[in-house]
Amino acid sequence: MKNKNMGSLKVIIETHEPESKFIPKQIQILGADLSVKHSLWIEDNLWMQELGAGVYLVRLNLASGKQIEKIAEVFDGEVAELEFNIAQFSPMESQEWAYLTKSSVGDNVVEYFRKDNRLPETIQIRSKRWRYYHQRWISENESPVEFSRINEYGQTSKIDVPREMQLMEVTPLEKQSTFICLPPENSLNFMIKKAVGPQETIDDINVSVGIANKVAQALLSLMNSGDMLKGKSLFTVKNAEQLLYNKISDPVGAAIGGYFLLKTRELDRMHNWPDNLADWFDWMPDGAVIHGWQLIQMGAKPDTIRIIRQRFLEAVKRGIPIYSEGLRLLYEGLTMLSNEFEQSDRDIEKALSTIKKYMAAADLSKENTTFRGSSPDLPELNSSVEKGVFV
Amino acid sequence: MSLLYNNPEANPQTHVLIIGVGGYPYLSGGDREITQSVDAAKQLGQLSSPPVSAEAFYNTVMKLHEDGAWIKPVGSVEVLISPCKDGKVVFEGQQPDIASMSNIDKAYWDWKARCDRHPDNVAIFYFSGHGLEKAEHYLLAEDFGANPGNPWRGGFAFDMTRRAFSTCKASAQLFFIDACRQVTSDMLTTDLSMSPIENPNILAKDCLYHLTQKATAVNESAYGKKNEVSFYTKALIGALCGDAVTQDSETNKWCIDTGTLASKMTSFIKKIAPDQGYEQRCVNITSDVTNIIQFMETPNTELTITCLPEAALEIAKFSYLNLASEENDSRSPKNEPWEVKVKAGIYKVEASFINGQYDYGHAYKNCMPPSALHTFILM
Repeated sequence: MKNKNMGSLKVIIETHEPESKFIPKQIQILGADLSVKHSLWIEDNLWMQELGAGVYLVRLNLASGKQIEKIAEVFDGEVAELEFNIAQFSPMESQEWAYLTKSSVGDNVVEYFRKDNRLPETIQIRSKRWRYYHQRWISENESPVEFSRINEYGQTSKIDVPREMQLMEVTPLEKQSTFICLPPENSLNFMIKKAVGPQETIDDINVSVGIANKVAQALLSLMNSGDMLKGKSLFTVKNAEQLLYNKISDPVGAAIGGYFLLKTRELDRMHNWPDNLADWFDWMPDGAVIHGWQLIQMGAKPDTIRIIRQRFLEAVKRGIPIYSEGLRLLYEGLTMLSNEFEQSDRDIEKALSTIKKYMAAADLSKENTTFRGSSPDLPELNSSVEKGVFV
Repeated sequence: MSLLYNNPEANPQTHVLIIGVGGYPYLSGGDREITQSVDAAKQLGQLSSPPVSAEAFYNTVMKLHEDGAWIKPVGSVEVLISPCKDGKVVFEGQQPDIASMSNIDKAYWDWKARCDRHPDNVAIFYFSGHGLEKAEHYLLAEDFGANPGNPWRGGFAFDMTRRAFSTCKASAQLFFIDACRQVTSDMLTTDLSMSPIENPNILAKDCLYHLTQKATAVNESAYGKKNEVSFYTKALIGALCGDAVTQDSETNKWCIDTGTLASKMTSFIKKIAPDQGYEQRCVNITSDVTNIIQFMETPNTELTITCLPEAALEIAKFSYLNLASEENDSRSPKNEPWEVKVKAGIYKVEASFINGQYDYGHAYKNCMPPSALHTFILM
């Protein structure tokens, strides 16, 4: 039997790329008093819900922080249709994955250029891939990125990264290089665009990396922006536990799940999986960092301090954590150990000195570890004091 | 006397430490300016905005306290201020101590002890002044440069201090840092010796609810206008006063939570300084999310109703109706848009025109802080 005074709401989401359908999107239905009536994440472009007749605010949230709000009036026995065009957020079809999932990408600047009747500025870049082999960085001969000129709209390419520590170096003409840690994946999305804004105050380029596990990617973006409430609604602790459990098939997803559980302090749900993640993927620094921090958060004791020390030293030996969260945790962990051993543990001091250099050159606002420098083992920033005006 | 408010109770409370450094006497333009030998000290001078920003932040903390908005009522507010020579007078009638390194050190430990009294306390640290960064974010006290041979003694390593603070029992720890994060050429070639106020140790687990927010990204500057509240602090104050409000999905109360403060701040700065030419990006370190402010009533917002072409305003009669509370009002034709303060909610807005010159019915508008605009486009 049909309920009295009930209608339906149909939400249709427009994207350019069919693949974008699977990007997680949060739909919130708010009543006239703005209380939340329904809130859920969908991985589809179509959603329907039966609702009492009335006026509702329908909010579509993306992991990139972009949001569209529309008001729907639902009538008894009728279907109210709302269309959300999220394709508008991206300047090109091929960039949609980045604009819909990453806050660090910024806004679509097509309108900005159109309004000012200007063309985007093109800069020349070169790129080079590096792999970490026997504790040395070795450059690959051929450039995996096909393009050499980019503008503010950017370009996406797909690259294959094997299960080993790899970096991409991107160098704008006559400028310092930026190095980006690459998660292992076949057909990894990699986008480079010229950063928008005066070049004397900001970086020259903006680089984004996107993994195939769209839920893990969305979770990473939400963690990075600090929106843990949405992160928790997208991803229950049980999901994170599952992601960590699935480490054999997806070690990068497992690392993201591990970072999430560390943040939410669900340490029991991590079981001994971080230990396995650290042991089974001995090329990946992140597993060792996560295991070390699981032990710290559980309350360090003399015997666990020994394991924490070993894990952080392993992490440094393996290269650089793939994610910025890992780099920060490794630096803080080594700093704490340095104090614990009163700066007398040579290995810890050496590891701290190495990681400190990366920290000094890193931009922690990026999800993937990203640093400036002249080579992978020579991270350094240029002085910036002359660039801006202090308050 | 720096403890401008002190009302300790056994219940969980919010304890605040505010530091604003504008006057750097030993640096360029200072009262006791001396020749500096290190680039970092040579290139920095006086700041007019931090004392004004710190005062505005203090006033906001107290206003929210008077309104009963802090979920954990304010237990103490300690303020250290170093005013800028020729800058705006701040904290008139009160005499906070200067923000020298020794005063900051003492205030930090006193504040930590107050925060430590209850596990459900909220600790808030706010700093506005000069900052430099090389792996660590160094915050500079007013005596930075007092010893030109080692100017760094007049500052502290913030990130390590923040990590060390984790041993405090307070389950919510919020740090707001309105300072530049740039690096000077000599910092690049020197191993800096600036120490934290407290050394972190391996027992320092993260607190449950943690937010550290820096006003700008690494190697970039935090901006503001002379003698005015900085862009970041303006955005932070706006956020705390309601711009970041959301309705808690479990309690239906209007709250400010640490997650929204983190994720929305860059967009708030963008609204405050749209002509800045680039995006001043806030950087956050967060853990789980908690509500820190709860408003007793539905928050107010500015609703503007207008029409295009604007010439039609003189014949336009506007009205609004809040669909939840049924609060309503109307306005006769005037030569300007209708600006009205309303409660947040969904509104039915209507326009009718004298002599039926235009035909327009109604529209629905979502009104959320800080403002909402509805424009009737007339054919």
